[in-house]
Formats: sequence, structure tokens, C-alpha cells
Amino acid sequence: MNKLEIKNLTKHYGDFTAEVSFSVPCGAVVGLIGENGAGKSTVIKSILGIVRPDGGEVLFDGKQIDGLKREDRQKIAYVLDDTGLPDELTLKMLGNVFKNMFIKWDGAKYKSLISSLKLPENKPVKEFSKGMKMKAAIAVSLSYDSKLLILDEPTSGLDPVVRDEILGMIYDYVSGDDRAVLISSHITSDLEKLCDYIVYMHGGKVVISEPKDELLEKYAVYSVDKKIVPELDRDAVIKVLEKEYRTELLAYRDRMPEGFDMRPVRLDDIMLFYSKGVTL
Amino acid sequence: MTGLLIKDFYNVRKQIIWYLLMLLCFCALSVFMHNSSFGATIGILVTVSVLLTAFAYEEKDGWNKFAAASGMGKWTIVGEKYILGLIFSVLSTAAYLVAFMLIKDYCDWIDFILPVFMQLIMFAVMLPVVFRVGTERGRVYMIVAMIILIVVLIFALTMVPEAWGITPEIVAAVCVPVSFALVVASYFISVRIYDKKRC
Repeated sequence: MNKLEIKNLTKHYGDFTAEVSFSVPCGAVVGLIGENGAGKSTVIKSILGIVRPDGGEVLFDGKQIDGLKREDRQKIAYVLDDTGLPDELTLKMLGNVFKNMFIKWDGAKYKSLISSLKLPENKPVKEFSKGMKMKAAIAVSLSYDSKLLILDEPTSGLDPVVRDEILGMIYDYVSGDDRAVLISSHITSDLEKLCDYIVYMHGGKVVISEPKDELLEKYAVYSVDKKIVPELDRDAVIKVLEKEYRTELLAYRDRMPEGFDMRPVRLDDIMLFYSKGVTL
Repeated sequence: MTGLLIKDFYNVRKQIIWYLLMLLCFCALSVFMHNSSFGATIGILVTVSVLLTAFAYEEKDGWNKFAAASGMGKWTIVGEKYILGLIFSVLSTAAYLVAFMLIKDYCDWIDFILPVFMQLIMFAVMLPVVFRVGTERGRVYMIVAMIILIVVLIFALTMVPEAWGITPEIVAAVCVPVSFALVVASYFISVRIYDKKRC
């Protein structure tokens, strides 16, 4: 069963159009990747109701997200790229604010989270480092009863130690009953560790939407001599990227002949090939 | 809505002390100088300033996106700013009323009713403007609007009652329903503007 379904969600911004369909299954972590301007944040903002889509539908637990009552809407927890937390407030003050905003706010859990994350309760958020702010935002999002957690670039600009802590918290969240996570990030190594599914957006469209393990198993990066490229099977080669001394191919492992210099594909490679490579 | 109000009070807590001090000083000036103008104008300034400060913090923090995603709904998010404005409007009116009662022998009830009415007009005009253009431009528009209103207020307090024989009862009978209608209309306009900005 899908926790979140996005069907032909369309949003126009001038010449740019985002038009996407994908789903987030229960119990899964779905990673949304793509270059800057690919439309990831637009999709997330549309799901969260921050912007109004021009078309399509978003279903949460099978129900239209627009028609949800406040209590059901708050089953979607979120962490925004700039957190959105008021800078002048301390975490203690934020607790007082959110217990009056979120119907199923769990004050004890919030206290325990900020304590386990070693966040100062009486210091204004404006005095926090970027990592501390992000941890505070995640603590807030995990302190009310939710079934879906949406995170927009939660690990961007953070050091590996903080990133690892954050990934651990997301992993713990999704281990609970009937929950799912949608996370967008530029740091594809984080998503490779965490995600069950990958949705790759390019130019406002979903280019790949597959289970991560299958995706990494299915494709490989081949390093070949430029001269032999025209002889290769067009159905096997997805993208070709010319480098200074060699040519690299993103290709289907099972369709490529043996004997080529090959390495396993990374999510970074997929983004690079789709944004800079050419079709054979 | 309570959560949003608490957030705004926390955000403007440092400024509130100064605004309250100003309110007290201006009302005290009115009492000592037997001149209601000081207490009459400070209410407008305090109500507008608190709202602008609250909006400015929200813009800086990116709170609008957070609030929109929280499931609170446009009527609640916009309505909270009206409640905040009304709270400070009532507070400054109460302070002005105390000062006014102490000097009422030197004034006319019109001197009390008109400034309170102007304060409500100001806040009814201001909120849709700030929802539409934000605090940076909104602040400029508000200064211009405030100057115009204060000039109109001074004119109304000094010239109109005597020249046209208008009684406080007539002023109250006009101002109360008009200000109520303006604030309600302003709320609907603000919700519409807020909703359009989501696009």
C-alpha cells in the first residue's frame, strides 16, 4: 500500500513546468534526487500545501491531500530546507508554541529528543549552528504523531557526523509502524545509505523511479574507446559522456557485451549522465 | 491559533516592553499637559508597529512556509494577525481611556472615539497591504498612510465638531459599525491575498 501517491502533479513557473508521478510505499524511504532547478522543492512544496499545484492530485493514505482535516494533515511531518523555525525563540518556547499548533504534540518526546540531541533548551535558535538548527527542526517534526515524514535537503551543508546522526533518526522513524519517508537531497551518498526507492527528477520530469538496489544493480558505468561507441547496441547504452581521454557510458549491465572496463553505478553518476550526457 | 499568537508574542517580546513604555509615557504626557493628542496618536503607532514587527520576523525566519505546511489553514493563519492587532488595539485604547478619563473635563468624547476609530482603520488597511507586498514595502506605505490619518485626525478633532455641530453620539453611531465592517472586509481581503500568494 502506498502512503503517498502523486499523480500527474503539475506546476508551471514561467517557462518551467514540473510534471511528476510517483509514490511512496508504506515502510519505505524514498529519495528524491535531481540537479538544482529540477523541481524537487516544487514537488515537496506542492505536497505540503505551500504552493498550489496547477494540476494532478496528491493522495495521502488514499485521500486527497487538499481535503484533509487539520488532524489528518498533521500526520504529515516535515522538515524544510531553511527549517522555518523562529530564530528569536528558544526550544522551550518552541515547545509552548507547537503544543498549541499540533493536535498530537508529545511534549515529553520533544524534551527527550532535544536532550538526546544535546540541544540547549534555553538558547535562542539564532545562536544555533546550521547542524543544530536542522537537528532542532527534525526534533520538532518527530514530536507529534505522524505517518509520513517529508524532508527537503535536511543534510545539505552539514558535516558527516551530524549527517549520520540525522540519517539515524530518519531510519529510526521509518522503523515504526505504518510510516514512510520522502527525502530530497543533493548528497546522494546519504540517500544510497538510507533509501529503498529513488526518484530522479530532471527538467521537471521523473526520469527514474525504481527500487534503489535494483537501480544500482541494473546500471553500470563503462569506460570505452571513443571509436567503438557507434558499434554498441543502442538499447544497451543509456547515455554517453565524452571525457578528455576516454568515453564513459551509462548502460544496462545485462545488455552490454563482456570485456569492457566497468564499475558499479552511483547515484551521482546517474545525475551526471542524465544532465551532461548524450543519447547514442 | 493560540500557538501562532504565542509565537508572535515571544517574537516581539523585547519590543513590546518599549511599546508599552511609550504608551505609558504618551498617555502620561496627555494627562500632564491636558492634551489628548499624545495618547490619541500613540495607539495607532503601537498597533501598527507590533504587527509590522511580527510580520518582519516571519519573513526573516521563513515561517510562512512552515505555517502553511502545518495544516492550520488560511483563515486561522490570517485571522491570528487580526487577533494580534485587536489585542494591541484594545490595550492601547484601554491606556488611552484611563488617560482620557483623567482629563475629560478638558476634552470632548469625540477626542476619544475618533482616534480609536482611526486606529482600526489603520489596521484594517495595513494588514491586506502587508500580506500583499510584505513588510519592506508595507512599512513605507504604512508611514504614508499613518501621516495622512494623523493629519485627518487632527483636522477632525479640531475643526469638524465645532463647525458642523457633530455630537459624540453621532460620531460613535457612525464609527462603531463602520470600523467593524472595515475590519471584517479587510480580513476577507487578506485571506484572498494570502491564498493567491500560494500560487
